[in-house]
Amino acid sequence: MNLWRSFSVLWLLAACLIAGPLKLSAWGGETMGVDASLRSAEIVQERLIDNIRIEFARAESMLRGGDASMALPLFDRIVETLETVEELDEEGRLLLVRGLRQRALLYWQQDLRQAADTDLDQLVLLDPSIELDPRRVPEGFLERFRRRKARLVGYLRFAIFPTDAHTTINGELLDLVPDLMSLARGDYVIEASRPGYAPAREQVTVEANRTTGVGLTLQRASAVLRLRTRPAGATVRLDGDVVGYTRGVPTGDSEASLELIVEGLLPGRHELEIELAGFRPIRTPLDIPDLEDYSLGEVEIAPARGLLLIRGLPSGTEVRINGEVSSPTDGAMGDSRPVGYDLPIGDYDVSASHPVAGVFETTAVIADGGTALVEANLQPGLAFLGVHGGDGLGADAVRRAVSNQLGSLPGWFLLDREVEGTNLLHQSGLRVQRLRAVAKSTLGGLLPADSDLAGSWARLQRQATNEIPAQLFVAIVLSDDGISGRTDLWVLPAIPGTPLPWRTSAEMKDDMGLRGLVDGLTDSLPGERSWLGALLVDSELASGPIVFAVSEGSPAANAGLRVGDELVSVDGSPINSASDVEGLLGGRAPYSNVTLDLRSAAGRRSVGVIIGSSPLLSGLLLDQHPAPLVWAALTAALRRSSSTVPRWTLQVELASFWIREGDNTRARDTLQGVLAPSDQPLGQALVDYLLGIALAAGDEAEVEAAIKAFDRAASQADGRTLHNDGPLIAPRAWARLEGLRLR
Amino acid sequence: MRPTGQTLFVLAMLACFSAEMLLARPNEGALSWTQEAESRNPSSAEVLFLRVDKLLSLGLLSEAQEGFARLLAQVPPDAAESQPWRAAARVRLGQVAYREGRFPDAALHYVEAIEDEPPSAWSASAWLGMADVLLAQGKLLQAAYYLQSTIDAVKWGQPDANPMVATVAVRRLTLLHRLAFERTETEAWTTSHLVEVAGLTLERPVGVAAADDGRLVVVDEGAPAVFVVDADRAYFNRLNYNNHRKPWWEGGRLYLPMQDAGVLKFGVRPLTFEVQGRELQRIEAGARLGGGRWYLIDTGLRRVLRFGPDGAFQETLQPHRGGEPVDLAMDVRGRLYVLDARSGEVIRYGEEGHYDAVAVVGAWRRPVAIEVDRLGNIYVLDRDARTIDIYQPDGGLRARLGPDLPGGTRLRGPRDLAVDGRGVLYVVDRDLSAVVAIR
Repeated sequence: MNLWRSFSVLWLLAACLIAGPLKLSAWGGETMGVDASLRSAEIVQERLIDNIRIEFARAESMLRGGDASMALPLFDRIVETLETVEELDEEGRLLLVRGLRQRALLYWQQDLRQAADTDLDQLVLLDPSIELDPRRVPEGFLERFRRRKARLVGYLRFAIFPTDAHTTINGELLDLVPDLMSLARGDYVIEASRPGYAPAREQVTVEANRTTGVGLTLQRASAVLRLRTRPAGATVRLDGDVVGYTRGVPTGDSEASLELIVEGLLPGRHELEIELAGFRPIRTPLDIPDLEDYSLGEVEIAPARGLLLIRGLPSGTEVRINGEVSSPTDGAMGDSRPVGYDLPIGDYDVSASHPVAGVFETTAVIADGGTALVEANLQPGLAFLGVHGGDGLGADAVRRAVSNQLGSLPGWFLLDREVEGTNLLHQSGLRVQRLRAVAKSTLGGLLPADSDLAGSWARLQRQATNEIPAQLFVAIVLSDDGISGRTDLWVLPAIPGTPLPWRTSAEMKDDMGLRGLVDGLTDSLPGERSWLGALLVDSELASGPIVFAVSEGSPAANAGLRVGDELVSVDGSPINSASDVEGLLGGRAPYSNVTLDLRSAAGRRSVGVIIGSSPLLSGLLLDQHPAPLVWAALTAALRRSSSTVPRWTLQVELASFWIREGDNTRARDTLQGVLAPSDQPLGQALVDYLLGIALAAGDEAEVEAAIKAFDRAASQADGRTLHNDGPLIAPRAWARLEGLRLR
Repeated sequence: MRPTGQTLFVLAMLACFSAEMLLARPNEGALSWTQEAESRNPSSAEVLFLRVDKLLSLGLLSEAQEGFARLLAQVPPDAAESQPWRAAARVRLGQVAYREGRFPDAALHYVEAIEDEPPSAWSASAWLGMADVLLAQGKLLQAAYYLQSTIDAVKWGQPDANPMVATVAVRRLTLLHRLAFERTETEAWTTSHLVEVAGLTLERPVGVAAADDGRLVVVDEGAPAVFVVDADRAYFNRLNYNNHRKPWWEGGRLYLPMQDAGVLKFGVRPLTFEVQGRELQRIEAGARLGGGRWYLIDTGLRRVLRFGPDGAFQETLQPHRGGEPVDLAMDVRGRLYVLDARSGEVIRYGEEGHYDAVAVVGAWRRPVAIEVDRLGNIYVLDRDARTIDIYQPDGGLRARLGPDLPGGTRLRGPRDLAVDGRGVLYVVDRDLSAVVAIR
């Protein structure tokens, strides 16, 4: 190809000279690069050959028509043109041979013997093995050809061992070594080489019309190892030294390399290493018994891989590894055992999302042959949709605050979705200026349903719910594009939460409203508290509270408290009222021991009580936190796979929330699947009671069901709300039951 | 019914007797509350509530009830200015229903005030109202719970909650403590003493009534005067005597029967009653239902007579021909208990005045007075035996006190008895010239 490059200009000139009518003007005036020039030269040669072929056909046609005098100039042009080409391709060479042969014949026929001899000599030197067909040339011309050839051509007989050695004549590689080879008389250097053998060389003189022999027997020098690798590109080391690289096949789809021949091996034990970046290296001993050729064939190099194990994925979780949805190669989701992903070595972004359980994100480093275990604690997502508007410093401060306060929020997984959030807000029409305008004109809290922005937030909710696996979306808008002094925190629940956001404004130097957000998401959840199981009441007839009732199976009953006992002290602290007891015992950790001093008609006694444990409902009716946060906290806790709170209490809280929000249908649906304990004060009675409330506003059949639910709740004498020592359900259920009956 | 032109009593006493503490705004008296509200810029919800509440204080129960219902319909629950007036209206509706004996209705209003409205100063009143409903239903355990919750609501709840509500709750719990348990009389009443008030000397006391909070009214035919003694026994008021008989309290008001001049209801003019064109001449005792109906005993006619709210005679209650009703009492459910000296029975009539049952059959020599406490316990005073028999609501005898009382007091000539909200018994002894308190 370099030749083509060198002679491109020449070829252009030649083309212009010869082609004549060819339309080459398209190149005129253009400045071409090297590649373009090469392509042009190839095209010129193709067209040159085409033209010569046409000229050749015309000339032969003239010959057949007996018009030799006209044909000769044509053959002149053909030969002269081809002679100027230094690197003729095979077709060009054949055309030149044929042109010389025909011109020699024409010269001979015109008795131009010298000219004919010149062409015959040139013809023989061009192709020493050429013979003329006796049937197609005159005998005299054939005789002359043979004489000329006998003066110029000799023969070389080869005897080379091993026969597959690479043999060159004057540096030209012989594809196939013939037994006998025609050559122009002269000196030749014959070289033979083969891997594993010492190369050999011999200089011979070929004399005209004589046969010269050349014999080369290569001496074995080393063993040879042949191998290919899949994929190509591996470095091959032998005994620590690089002995080669496996090269790829230039064309084709094969990933396997060309054969690498390693010579210079001596018999004995060697260490072979094959290495390729990202793949598992091969290190193997290699026994070479003798000075022979050995082949390893195709060596498969396995990628360097490791195992990513993820534990805690519920069934139906979508796992993305570096953004690609991935299926486990081992194990099944929902099983107690972790699922495995066989991965090439490297760093990976791993994310998991489940429509109910929530989301989880982490990074994992996979080492070759190693195992990276990830405990996937799927939690409801709290997506931060970014800081909008304002100065860079202010935005950075907000981001830090968000990361600090929301990043470690128990029960939530903070998803940084600032990029997506910016797009979502933009697409929903929630521009910074509009948000600021609304913030200035309305009070904080839930955005009024008739606000101009209500539709935009609903759009955002739809899109965000579809695109981001989060339960709650948080965006912060700075008050000013210059130096911001205040922030507006916008919080929007995912569907099916209310499509209206809750907003709070705060000073930049304060908590930016994040504390309220954190509190709202944690306070609303049920918890745990102590349980005594005795009703203590104040009386003017005693200095301490009186035990008025003892719940069956309660800690108080187990400790032997009796109706009528007067409580004198708790752990030695005097007690004056039932409120004092609540203050002393309410804060005690469940299962702690306390000593109660009691007084009764029988005298004074002390009893030890192991304080019991009771679920503690948050008392949603108290309306302490914004509805979107309460809803988000409850549904998030319900989705959480590892919530420590009994599921039924969360369901009850959620049902209470829906009742408060006036959505009795959702309240009813939530309650109908609740499995609450029936042997505890806080349990089934409350479920029945709330179910009654949810059904009471329905149609006739639902009212009938509500009556039954209230009836059940009213019949459970010790049923409580809030906690095991909480308010009695039965009187309320009776009141609502009677109310329905009266209706 | 027509006015008799009797002298009205001191107007200053009105606030003392006519203002039902539980109907007052939390932490304030009704009068000052109204003035305060008018002096500032109240919300429309508050104005509406005040107007309706005035109707209630005038005794226009049905009008007030409609007004409060209208308030609930007009004032949206989520409006900031609607708080706490929706809860207040629900409490008031509960109180009206309770006074009219519609206990389920009352309970529903109270529950809705507790659950459906945000916590407010009225929450404690709702808890207490619910407790009273439960007491009326005989659900003592549940009532005790709600009473204690009332105390907690005042103590831990809204800062402007009415502390009087907690006081009432403690009183109720004290009564429960005294009587709800299966106690002997020596455990329930452990002492007795003569009520002493500085400057007050009784001569021949013949009638006594006790308010829920322990205030006493004593009719002394020797003085002659009617004395109203405060709960702390620190001071008393003297009212003119007009041949009064057994006084009673109802709805925070004091009623004084006058043998020959009808019934004096404090705060309004004395009322007279007539049957078939003849005025009653010997009114011994009486009771008034929340709805306004009257029950009076005329010892001359030996009848228990029922009158409508407008004073018109309705019917005679007398299951036993030839009976001799001497006293009556009403329980919290509005049921009437008539003590018949001749048959030696306590006869119970339902809320509508129909005969219900013989509640108690006694072996008394001369029964003269009866009381029923909030728990439905029945107290009968036997003048000649100088005993007080205490019966459980089912008629079983719980205890007999006297003539020698715990604490050493010996009854000599008892004429009337009363029981306050704590279950403290009061007996007027004409011969001892004293009121004996039995605790």
